[in-house]
Amino acid sequence: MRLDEYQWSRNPRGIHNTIAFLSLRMERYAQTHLGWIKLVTGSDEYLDAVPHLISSGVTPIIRLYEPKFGASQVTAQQLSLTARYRQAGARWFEFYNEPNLRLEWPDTTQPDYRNTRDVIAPLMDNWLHWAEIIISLGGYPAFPALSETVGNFEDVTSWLSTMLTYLSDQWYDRFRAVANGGLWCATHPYFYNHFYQEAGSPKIARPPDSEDGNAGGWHFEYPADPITQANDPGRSVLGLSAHLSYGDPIGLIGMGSAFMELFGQLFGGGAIPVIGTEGGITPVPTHGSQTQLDARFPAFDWFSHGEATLACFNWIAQQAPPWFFGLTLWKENDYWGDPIHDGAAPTDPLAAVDRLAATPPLLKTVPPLEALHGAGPGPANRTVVPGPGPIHGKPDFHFLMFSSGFDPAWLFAAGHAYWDAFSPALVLNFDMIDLIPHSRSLMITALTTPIEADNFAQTIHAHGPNVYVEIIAADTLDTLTGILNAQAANATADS
Amino acid sequence: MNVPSPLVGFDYHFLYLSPGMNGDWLFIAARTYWLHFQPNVITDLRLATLTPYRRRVAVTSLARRDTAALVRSQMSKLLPRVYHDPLVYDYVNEMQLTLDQRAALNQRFGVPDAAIGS
Repeated sequence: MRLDEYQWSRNPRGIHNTIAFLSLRMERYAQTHLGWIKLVTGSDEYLDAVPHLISSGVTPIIRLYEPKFGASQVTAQQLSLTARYRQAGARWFEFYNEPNLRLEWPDTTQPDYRNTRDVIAPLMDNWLHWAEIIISLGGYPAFPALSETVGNFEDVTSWLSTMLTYLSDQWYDRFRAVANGGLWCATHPYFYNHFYQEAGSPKIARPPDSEDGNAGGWHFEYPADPITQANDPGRSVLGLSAHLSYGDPIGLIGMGSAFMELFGQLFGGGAIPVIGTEGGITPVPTHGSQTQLDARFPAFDWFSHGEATLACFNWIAQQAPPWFFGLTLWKENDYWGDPIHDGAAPTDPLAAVDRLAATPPLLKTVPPLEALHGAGPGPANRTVVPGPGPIHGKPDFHFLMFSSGFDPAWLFAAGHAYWDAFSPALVLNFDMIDLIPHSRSLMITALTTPIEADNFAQTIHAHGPNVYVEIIAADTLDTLTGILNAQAANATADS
Repeated sequence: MNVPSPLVGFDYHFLYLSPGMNGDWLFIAARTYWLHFQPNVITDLRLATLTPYRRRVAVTSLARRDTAALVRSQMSKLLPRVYHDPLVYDYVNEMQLTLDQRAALNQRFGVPDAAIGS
């Protein structure tokens, strides 16, 4: 399937509805010239609206709301409702929502991307089954949107990498068939103030009060923008940089870029649509406030938020990668100032509403890119393992650890030259191994007594099978000194 | 064998040697301190950024005056939520005096544990 064959409005502007069951305000979508609406539904309440939305140039995206759905299988009731929405004209469907968040799972389950058996495997097995059904109905299934959380068990790029790796290992051909049959990727780009408009030079940003949504010079390509690259050269959505151990996908197209990169590597992927189905410049402003969560970029206020939101959609239409189709802003009540509960007073619609209403949308031209490039690398038949990933070249981290019977004082007697040569981290606890994400690699120099050597190596590998373990077994201080000094001398000679 | 003093009030304690500090600062200045408290020793703050978000983390940094500002900037940028215990001395023997005294008084951060981490 080619990228230009997907049926949609070609208008990247979108909004997320306020809540399921609430009546739609069609006049708002016409007023702001929207091209997408994300509809979280509880039942069939939006069935009648779907044809009207489509005929008005607003493409609906449907997600049937289920609290704490975890990795559950699609239910008969969900399938029945999905078929009815499809018959009404809807094509774009989502299933799981932010499965890397604890609150999206039953209370009895701890979601962790390192738990393949109980988390990743059922999630991807059941998602793939659902996706194949959606395609059989003539719809487009979404790869699940992940919460853009960085670090620990919720880390977004670790989840994405583990989910796609599992699919590559277990369901390579099935996933490629889905990718070539209507797959798209949902993302949730809440991108804070990771954008700017140039002030005469690519690395200089205008202050908020001189931003103009209709003028050029906007940058929404974070972290590939000139300011970020000047601050931390090489920072990318998946890679290691001087300042970060994780990738940094917290930009408008960050997670879409990460998906495309892994899709290409693992499956021979070409291009499939990516749509942000939540997100935007966040938090939405209040009158008189300024928000600057990242000091590298200008703050935004009530008015500049409006300029930047307009510019964001223009940028998607004209400068974003061809696969980025749009964004449904989170969410309707925030933008139109609806009361947050019964009896509360409404607030002013955001400046963004006025700016979008006053400006016709730019439509996106989509090139005929194929979803797949050739046969791809084939299934790797890997077993997803916990802890750090395999080493390619030089490990990202180097630990020096001691077995329980090894006197650490020996290191201070014998290891000065060694440490000067290699500067490893001195680590006492095995849980430090658990903290290294699969996207990073680890070497451990294990100082041990000879009798403990095998057991110590096994314990390390239980925490991280991909860890490269260098055993240094010594039962005298002289032996240890000789080994460490020889390694230090070799390193000095090599350098 | 040395019995390390337990970590109170924190889940992780890192001893960070700032850029440019050679092994003298660990093997001479911090020897007694490390043997007493046994913190994780790092030269790359990215390792400390991997700690789970809700865990309590302390970083004792060793720096000279010429790198102290850099360390402060790195800490605020990469680890704004952790307890930062900065030590700044230009000479190894001065750093050693402070760290040895902490070990002698059993004060990991230079004050009684009860005064920290609440």
